[in-house]
Amino acid sequence: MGCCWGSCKEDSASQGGDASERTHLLVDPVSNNTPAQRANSDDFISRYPNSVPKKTDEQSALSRILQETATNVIDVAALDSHNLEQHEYKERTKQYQQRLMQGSGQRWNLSSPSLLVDIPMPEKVLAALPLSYADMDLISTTVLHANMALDELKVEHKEDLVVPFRIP
Amino acid sequence: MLSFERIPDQVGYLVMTEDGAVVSSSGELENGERIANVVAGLISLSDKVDPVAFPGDKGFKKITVNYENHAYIICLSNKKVYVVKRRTHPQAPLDADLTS
Repeated sequence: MGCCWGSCKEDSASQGGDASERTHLLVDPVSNNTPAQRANSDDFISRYPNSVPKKTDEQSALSRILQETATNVIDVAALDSHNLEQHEYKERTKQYQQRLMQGSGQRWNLSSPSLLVDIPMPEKVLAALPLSYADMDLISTTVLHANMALDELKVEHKEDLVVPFRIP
Repeated sequence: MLSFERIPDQVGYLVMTEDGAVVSSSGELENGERIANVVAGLISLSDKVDPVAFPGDKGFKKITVNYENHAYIICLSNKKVYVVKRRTHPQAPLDADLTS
């Protein structure tokens, strides 16, 4: 890591020396130098215990870490502190009711007429003997035969399909 | 509340409100949201009964959906839809030959 830092110093030295087309390229490594130093600040402290600029760098790096952590932390205790006002309750009630109305509108609604009629004693109807198998058999065979008959339905044409009109 | 226990061969039931929400359910139809949706679609397929085929009827008292060994009986009472699943006992087909 010390090597990295050294090269940066070299760069900054060469930057001051000649202003060639490389000058611009050298600006970036210098500014990017800070994270590298921050990441290895312990190394720097142990190697250069008396260097003052390193310490300030370390402090800024630490404060940056602190800041980043603070932005990433969700304060759960602070979330509860927001109390709903009375008018907010009313607004939300209205909003939810509107949503409910929209939802029920899309759903099926029995108030519109349906295939069933309202009957007073459902127990009787529900407990009635189920349709006998003889009846079901009759229905299915009849429908089957009707279908077969429909399939065999054919048009028997006796006249010409194309009829010439009196064309002069 | 209706006593579903007295319905013979009942294996499950479902009570729905007007908007298709399940009020109560039991047995094989417990939490039967899927069946509820199917039934809702079935009874609202049409808003009226063919007056030629069923003269004098404004609607049906019940709709039965029959399967080989069970049936769903659907009826409407007091603005609630009752769906009962009943076990049915298959019989040997009758000898009556309709083709003859």
